[in-house]
This record gives sequence, structure tokens and C-alpha cells, in this order.
Amino acid sequence: MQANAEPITARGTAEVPAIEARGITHRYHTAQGEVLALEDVNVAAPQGKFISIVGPSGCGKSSLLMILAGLLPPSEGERLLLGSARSGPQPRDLAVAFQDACLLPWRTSLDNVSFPLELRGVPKAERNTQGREALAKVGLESFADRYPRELSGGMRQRVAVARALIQKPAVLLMDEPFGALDEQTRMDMGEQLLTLWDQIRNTVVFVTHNLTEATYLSDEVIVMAAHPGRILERVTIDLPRPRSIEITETEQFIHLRNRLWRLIRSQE
Amino acid sequence: MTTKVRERLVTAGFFVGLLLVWEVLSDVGVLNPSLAPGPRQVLGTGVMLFEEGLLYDMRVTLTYILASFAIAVVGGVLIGALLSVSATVTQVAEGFLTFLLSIPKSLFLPLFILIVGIGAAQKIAFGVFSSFAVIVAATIVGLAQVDHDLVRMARSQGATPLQIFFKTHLPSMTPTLLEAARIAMILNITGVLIAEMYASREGLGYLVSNYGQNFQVDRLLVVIFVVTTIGIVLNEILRGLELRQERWREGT
Repeated sequence: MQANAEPITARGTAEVPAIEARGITHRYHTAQGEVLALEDVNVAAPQGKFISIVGPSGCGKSSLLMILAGLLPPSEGERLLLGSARSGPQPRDLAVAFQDACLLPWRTSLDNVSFPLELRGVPKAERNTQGREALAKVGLESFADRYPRELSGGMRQRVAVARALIQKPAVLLMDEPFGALDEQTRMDMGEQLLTLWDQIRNTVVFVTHNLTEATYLSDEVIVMAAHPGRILERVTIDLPRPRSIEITETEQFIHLRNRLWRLIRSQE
Repeated sequence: MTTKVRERLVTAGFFVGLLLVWEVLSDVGVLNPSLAPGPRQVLGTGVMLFEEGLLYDMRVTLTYILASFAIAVVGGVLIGALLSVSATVTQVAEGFLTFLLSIPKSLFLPLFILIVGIGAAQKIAFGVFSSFAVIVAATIVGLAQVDHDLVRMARSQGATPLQIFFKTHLPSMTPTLLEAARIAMILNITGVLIAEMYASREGLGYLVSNYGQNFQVDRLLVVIFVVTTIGIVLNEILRGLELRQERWREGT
């Protein structure tokens, strides 16, 4: 807990990327034979930056994220977290927000949010306090006693974000967290995420196939190609922060998003 | 008056009516009083039996029932979990379980007596034997239904294998287990009672067989009523636990 109390940017020097994939190659076996999911992928997310990974389906972006999370051991290459190669999940430095929220259905919002603390053996009173604070950050303090099935899809995803943030992670990995939501809710969620992130400024790696979302949220967008999964291009998004949703209508925004779109299109 | 209250009143009225008819039929001599004594007589015998120490036999039997249920549930979940480790093992086990679930358990009672004797161990062992296969089967089914995404989520947050079992696997299979536990409880009560009827000097099963052999139908009916009540109460406790799961379950 002590380590998490420090400001996140104080860990390591600015030159060390918060999280890095070095020479990642990943193969898996199917009935049809071996599939090369990722080939020699190198990605580094600088500290305090918001990075998105986009690409067509089958480009291995979700596999890459699971490798970065330490949940999927790669066939070759290594993952570096805050400058050192550590295998497996590292819950004190890294949190993951999954597709479909992944809430435990038999637990209330509060008990879901405080789950990471429970695993660490934090006493109940303390985890309830922190859990309520985390729920308040995503505007759900009055839904603390609700079960996931009693919440809307957007609310469930906010609970999942609160649960990731309660870990006070230096690195937050998000795997298409808003993918199952309708467009309106998705952009609302993006806006809320940016508001939260402006207060925290940790490192985020965000996987999505929605280019508007990627452009709106990120400092840099990594475009991947499929068969085999590899990195095609890195596009710097030099839009000013803080950003509001209106920025999506500016010429500069549309220009950047169209560039991403052409990169993806060029593969087909 | 709500529909629920009305339903309950109708049910209660039905049973009261049934008791009245029974009483009248036995009073006027339509029913043979030595084979079907009236409710009043049975009630009187009941009071007498409790004064004579029926509570002691109830305690003996209830202890056997609860002990064998606890062993069957804990053991059944452990065995089921072990069998679920490999798909091949599960497949082999399922064949054996189908066999265990479909044979009449009472066939094995003499064998149990030869192996563990006729003491408390025999009653508990036979109760466990009667019910644990249901729990093992439910555990295998329940574990197969666990959402792997939830397990991965718990892993990402640093859960140890034990934490993963107790905080993701176990709660997600609890509804399936509780359903199985109710069936297991019935089988388990039957198992303990048969074991007591077969060879025992105390307990409700012993009383049933003893009163039956001595043609004491009023006493027999009292014991049957006591066993029924125990069965209903245990079943309702498990159903209460099941109802507590309803709030989080989808589609309820």
C-alpha cells in the first residue's frame, strides 16, 4: 500500500517507459495449424501518456494487451513494467479493465469495486471507505448496494473503471471497455474517463476499434495490421488538453481521424 | 387480502378439513382404529412419547443427518473439484457417477454393516454414501459453468489460486450446489433412517421399525410426523438460502 500512496509520476525516471513490449511474437495452435498472432511487436508507453491501439479485427490488439497485462505469456519477447521485466499480473502497478465490465454478479457495486483491496487483505472498514470514494469518482455513490444486473451497461462499465482505479495503478490497460455500449453512451463514457484521467495522469493503454474514440482520448494512436499482427504506424495526436467532446468537430480532429482511417483502409 | 395469503388459507383449510374427516371416520369406526387411529389419539400418544424421551431419539437422528450432510457437501465439492481438473478424468467420473446415481443405495447397506459395524459410523457413512454423488455431479456441472472472464479478471488483480476458488468458482456455482443440496438432503435423511431401521437401538429409524413390528400404529404415526417435520424444516432452510441468491441472478 505504501508504494501506491506516492504520486505515480515519482516512480522511476521519465525516460523509462511505464510499460513496454519488446520483440513480442505470439503464436497459437488451432485445428488448422499454427497461427502467427503477433510478429515482433515493439511498443512503449511513456509515463503519464494515454496511448490507444487500433486495428482491424484479427490484428492481435487484444492479445497484445493481455500480454502487456501479464495474463498471456508470449511465445517470444518480454514485457517491461516500469523498466523491469516482471512476469504475471502485477496488481500493485497495473490494472486491467476488460471488455463486458467483468463484474462479479453476486457482489454489489461496492463489493465489486473493493474486490482488489479484499484480495490484498485490506480490512473491511477501510475497503468500504475507499470503495465509496472510488464509486463517487464515477458518479455512482448512490448505487453502492446494487447488483450488476440492476445496473445499465454504462453503469457496469463505470463500476469496472472504479475497480481498476482503486488499485491506484501506474499503468491502466483497457480492452475495448466501451465496445458493447451504444455510440452516445460510448462518447459520454470517454468524456468521463478523460475528466478522471486529467486528475490522475497515469499511463493508459486503450484498445479500441473506434477511431473517433481513439483520437479523442489519446496522446498517441498505434495502428496495427493483421495477418500477422504487427505495428503499422504510430500517429501522434497533438490536440490540446483538457479536451471536451466539442473537439471532435474541429478540422484538426477530423484530419487526424481520417488519417487513421486511411491507414486502416490501406490494409484491405 | 393478497393472493398469497388467500392461497395459504386455502392450503391450511384443506389440511384442517383432512384432519377432521380422518377424526370423524375413525370415531364412527369406518377406519379400523388399530390401523388408523384418529388425530386426537395420535396427538395424545405424541405428548406421551415426548415425555418418555422422544427428544433423545430426535437428537440422535438429527446429529447423524447433519453430520453426514456436512461430510457429503464438503467431501462432494472437494471430489468434484478434483475430478474437474482434467477433462478425461471428468469423462470417466461421469460414467461412474451415473451408475452411482441410478442404483438403489439400500442394496449396499449389509455391506456397510460388514465394513463399519452398526454404530454411529455406519449411519453417518450410509447417509454420506446416499447423497454425496449428487453433490459431486453438481460440482462438476457448476465448475464447468464458471465464467472464465471472471477468473481472468480475478487473476489480473493478483488473486491466489485459493482466492480464485473461494471468490469466483464457489460463489458462481452456489446456486447449482444449493439446488443439489436439497436433493442430497432428502437422500441423506432416507439413508440415515434406513440405516437406523436396519440395525440400531436408538434414533427415529429404530423407532419406526420397532413400532411397526409391534403394531403400535399411533406411535408409528407420531414418529412419521416428526421425521416429516424435520425434513420440511431442513428443506426450508436450504430453500431460504437459495432465495437469497435470487437477487443477483439473471432472469429471475
